[in-house]
Amino acid sequence: MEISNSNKIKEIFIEVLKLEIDEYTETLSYLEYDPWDSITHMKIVAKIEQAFDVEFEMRDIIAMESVAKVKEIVANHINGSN
Amino acid sequence: MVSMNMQTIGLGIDLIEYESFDGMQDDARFLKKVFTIEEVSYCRTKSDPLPYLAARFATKEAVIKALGQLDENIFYSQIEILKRENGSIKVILKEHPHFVVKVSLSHGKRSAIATALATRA
Repeated sequence: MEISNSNKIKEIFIEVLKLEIDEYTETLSYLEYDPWDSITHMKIVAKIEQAFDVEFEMRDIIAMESVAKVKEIVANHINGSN
Repeated sequence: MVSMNMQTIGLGIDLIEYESFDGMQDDARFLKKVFTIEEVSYCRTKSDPLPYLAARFATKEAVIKALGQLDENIFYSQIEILKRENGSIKVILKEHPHFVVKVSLSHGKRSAIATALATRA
């Protein structure tokens, strides 16, 4: 993933989850980080869709369990795999 | 005594604090992904739509949890929460006709809570 796209995702996570910079990692996980709940998950999804002009299917939204997985799914959409 | 086969019943509960929903009532993309047109229209008839949207989100979460116990995956937009004329809540599962869900929800000053009971039709 290009650095600019990676930074867009980072900014969205930091904004929605109100993270400190050093709290943002590839391994940050929906299941292990309490503030990443169902509402903030949908906020993140909506903001990423808007930022990248994409629309995710239900299976993708459910699969976005970590920052790394989110980046992988976004990259697949940008590259036309979905 | 009523006999129930627990393997055919799913139970879900969810609590939403309005504060966590702040700002989302004006986010068109978020609303479209989570709510139906009818739900948004209803909530916008209220002077402050936020508690009503939050309550519906909590209800959908409760439904998702209840159906999850029956190994059924469903998404927010596939669940429609409507109010009957008598004030009771009706749940419509457009793409999951083999399930029946009953819900109950309550509003407070700062939060809403919902429960859902799901069974196979």
